[in-house]
Amino acid sequence: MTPTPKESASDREILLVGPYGVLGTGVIDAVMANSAWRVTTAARRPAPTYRTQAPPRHINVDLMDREGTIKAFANLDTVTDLAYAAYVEKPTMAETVEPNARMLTNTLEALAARNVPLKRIVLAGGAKSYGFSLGSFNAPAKETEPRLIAPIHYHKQEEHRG
Amino acid sequence: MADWSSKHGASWTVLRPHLVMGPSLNSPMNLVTSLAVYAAISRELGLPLRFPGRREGWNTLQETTDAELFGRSTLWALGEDKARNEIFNVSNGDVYRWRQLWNELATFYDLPVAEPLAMSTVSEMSEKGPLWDSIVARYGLHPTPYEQIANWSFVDWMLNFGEETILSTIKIRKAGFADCIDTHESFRRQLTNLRKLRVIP
Repeated sequence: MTPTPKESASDREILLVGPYGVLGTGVIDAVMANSAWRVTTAARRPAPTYRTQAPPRHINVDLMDREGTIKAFANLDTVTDLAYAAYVEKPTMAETVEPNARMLTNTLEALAARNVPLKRIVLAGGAKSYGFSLGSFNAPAKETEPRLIAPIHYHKQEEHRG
Repeated sequence: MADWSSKHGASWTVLRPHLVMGPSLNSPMNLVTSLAVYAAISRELGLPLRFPGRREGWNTLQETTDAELFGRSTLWALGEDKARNEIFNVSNGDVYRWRQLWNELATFYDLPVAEPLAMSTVSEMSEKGPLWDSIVARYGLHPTPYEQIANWSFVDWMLNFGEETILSTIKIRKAGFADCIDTHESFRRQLTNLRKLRVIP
């Protein structure tokens, strides 16, 4: 198990966006096993019925809707951190870029409209940054690998002109 | 995100997991639920468990990330100074080959293994929805629609991937996140958990 972070985290609350995909579910389960952190979830749908634990506080939001996201996040004054694990899949990678970049932008702009500054952000990426979705891979892939010429939504999300 | 963070005084971390295995429904990229459905349907039809991918996919070295390990890496990144404005690969810390890991799935469903034979599961599993529904009813599972528990195009992509897919995790370990899990143990644990949650038989 990872030790509790050095920095006192008792006053830290994560907004977890995309909570019930395979990544987000892992974050919820990690938070539930670690009393140093609290979590609020945000997605279009609430917790799925198969889960047995009481779900954390949940906010219904469609991240594609800019105004709706601002309204939904306006009163999140205890949230200090963002874990971003939302993802929408489209038929091609090129089509996948825009909606995924937009959902992250809407999330960040809505959080910036609050009175509480965000401390830290974790953005979930993946092996598509190394060519996996192109059917190729140079192993072992390091984080310093140059970006691909192909449209990859992670590239756009990592930059985000704010 | 990087630009936004510098403007608003926040720090960011990008985590790059690969092939995350854990519980979820309606995920475009959840392999463990899809494979459990494939195995459960094989058992229902009285068939051995046959790997439906090409030889390269059966043999090549691969890597995966346990969902809870990913969750713990997220908490680590949010609290660790060395993680500020950095990108990290994150995975179980070992590697696997399907020709070895496949046995875990076969054991979990108490099935013999048949020789691999490449096929399109998108095409060959397409008419198994009613069979899945009958499995759900017989085992008293949570009623998950077939198309929400299995994504056959993802199965085809993953099981036929012919290149070694290894993400170096030396950077995150040097920065202090040393958590790891045996991939065979993780796969067994995820299957067991999904059964306990009555998502799969």
